[in-house]
Amino acid sequence: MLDQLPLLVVVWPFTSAFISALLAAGRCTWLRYLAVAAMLVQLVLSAAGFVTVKNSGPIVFAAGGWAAPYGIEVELNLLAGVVLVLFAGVGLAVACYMVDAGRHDVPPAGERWFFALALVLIGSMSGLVVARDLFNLFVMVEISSLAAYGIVSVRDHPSSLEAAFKYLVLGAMGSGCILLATALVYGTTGYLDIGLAHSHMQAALAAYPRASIAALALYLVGFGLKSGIMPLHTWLPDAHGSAPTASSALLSGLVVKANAIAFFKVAFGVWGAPTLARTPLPDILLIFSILSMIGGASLAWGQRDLKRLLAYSTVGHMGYIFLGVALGGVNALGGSLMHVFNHALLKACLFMAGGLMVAKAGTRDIPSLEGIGRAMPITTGAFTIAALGMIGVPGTAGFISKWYIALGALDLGRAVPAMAILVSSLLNGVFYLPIVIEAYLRPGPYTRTEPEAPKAAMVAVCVLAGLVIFFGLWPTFPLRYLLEAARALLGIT
Amino acid sequence: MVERIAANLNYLMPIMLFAVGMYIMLVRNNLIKKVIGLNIMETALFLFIISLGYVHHGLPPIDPTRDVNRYINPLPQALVLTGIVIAVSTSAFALSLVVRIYNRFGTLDADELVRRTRRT
Repeated sequence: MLDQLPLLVVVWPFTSAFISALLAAGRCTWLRYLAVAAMLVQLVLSAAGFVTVKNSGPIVFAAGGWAAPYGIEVELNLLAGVVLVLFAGVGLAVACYMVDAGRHDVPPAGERWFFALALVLIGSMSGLVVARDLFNLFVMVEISSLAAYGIVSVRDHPSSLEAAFKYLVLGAMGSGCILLATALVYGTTGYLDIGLAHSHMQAALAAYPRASIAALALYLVGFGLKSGIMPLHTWLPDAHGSAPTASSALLSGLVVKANAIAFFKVAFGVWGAPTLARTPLPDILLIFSILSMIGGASLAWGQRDLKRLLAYSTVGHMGYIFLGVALGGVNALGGSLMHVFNHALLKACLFMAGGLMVAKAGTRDIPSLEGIGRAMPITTGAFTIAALGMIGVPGTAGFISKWYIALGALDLGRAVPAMAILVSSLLNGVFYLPIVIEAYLRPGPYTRTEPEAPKAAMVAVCVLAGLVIFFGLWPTFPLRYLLEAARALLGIT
Repeated sequence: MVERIAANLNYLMPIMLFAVGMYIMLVRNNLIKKVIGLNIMETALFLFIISLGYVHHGLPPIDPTRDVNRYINPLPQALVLTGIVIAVSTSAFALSLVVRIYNRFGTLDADELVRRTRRT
């Protein structure tokens, strides 16, 4: 049973997605509670997977009993364990939000399909983190992308249809690059298994230097497109900004990170850290990530639409995540993996608290949200905590990851990235704090109601805000294991 | 140089086709043409992957009594089969979005679409 966990965390969400799609077609009314239960089971499975990996090392499962060169293997290692728990946890929070707060921006027809799509999304992203086979990884990336396009368009609003199409065109281009890169790796090394491809990579680099490096570049473009890093981010503000709130929380919280993790797995898994250091990849990533950190935050500053602001802020924070890879080194990479974890919690909390505020105000225009903090003190409080985490105030989760990335930059004697982190954090403060201050201190037209927002959604938002504080004060759980995972990725034992 | 191109023509042509598909997806304004570009790009990839496993005068890899060295590689074909399924579902979803967009906006022009979404 335990050795099948790496496959179960993929099979379970897909099965429940299939069942909820059937129930959605039958217009079942208690579907939303079933979806929450399915996410809960997924969280239990992921947690069981993590605990097993923590105690007894990685679980490798050969599907159908065929070992690597002939069959497909899946592997649950420390990184996958932590990330699976994160995916299932945020998925559960989003499902709780959808139970009673989804109605304000998802039409009933779309709401029924939302749960099936969300479960497919969680299942495919789980499949992506456990995949050890490059083609399997591509398939999972593709399923998660399709579910992501769908989850944008469930709102059935003209702007979200347009955004979903734009996302689809650029996402499909990214998929094309990933598939071509996979074909090149297969053609040059002769293997699709990440471990076996790695052991033949040096020979491939000697025989076909250009094709091997072209594959890396194509992976960078493909996964870079899908994770919305700066020069390739143009679809992200539209898709994340015009999707329904719950979808934005999943997309900004998890999907972009899943693609970043897929890139880390492939780049470190197939090429390995020493080879990567000899390619131009770290320099290119350094430029991309600093551009994202500064550019994303600057563009967010100019936004009047709350959800577009949050979407641009995601572009900025993807920069932090890729910065750790650009720098290399255990602290920087551990910090960026930590930022994957923290930013998922922070951004899901921000999107859902912001969504509740938008539902109350009836507008996404930031100046119209003045005074909403008096009518919704708890929701705005959760928004404030997450906003402080985005800025990186000590005591919140965002601080720990930014600290480790900056530490990693200074370890290597690189002052410019550390400065960029500081500047980007300041910019985050410049655009997040006025929203919070004006929500609390300015008078507004809103009256307090009891309860101030739908209950299940409030619980989800408050738990996420609580976790932001918890992981800010006691970061040991993810940090210790993610630093170990960073060591494993870099090949340092 | 010419021999090198001739020897690698099976790789060169799909890559050119891939670039053509990508160009159509980026530059053409008509949404249907973008979907066609997507399909050209994906077909180019399938040709590329299939040609990786090609063996001149190859044999199907099922009969162990014949020359094993002339077996063609079946793995790329399995990959392409999966790839086709993915490409079909992506195209189907893209086309259904195009239908929705056309019903809502009455246009298939990407620039016009951007102009109209700004207004709503």
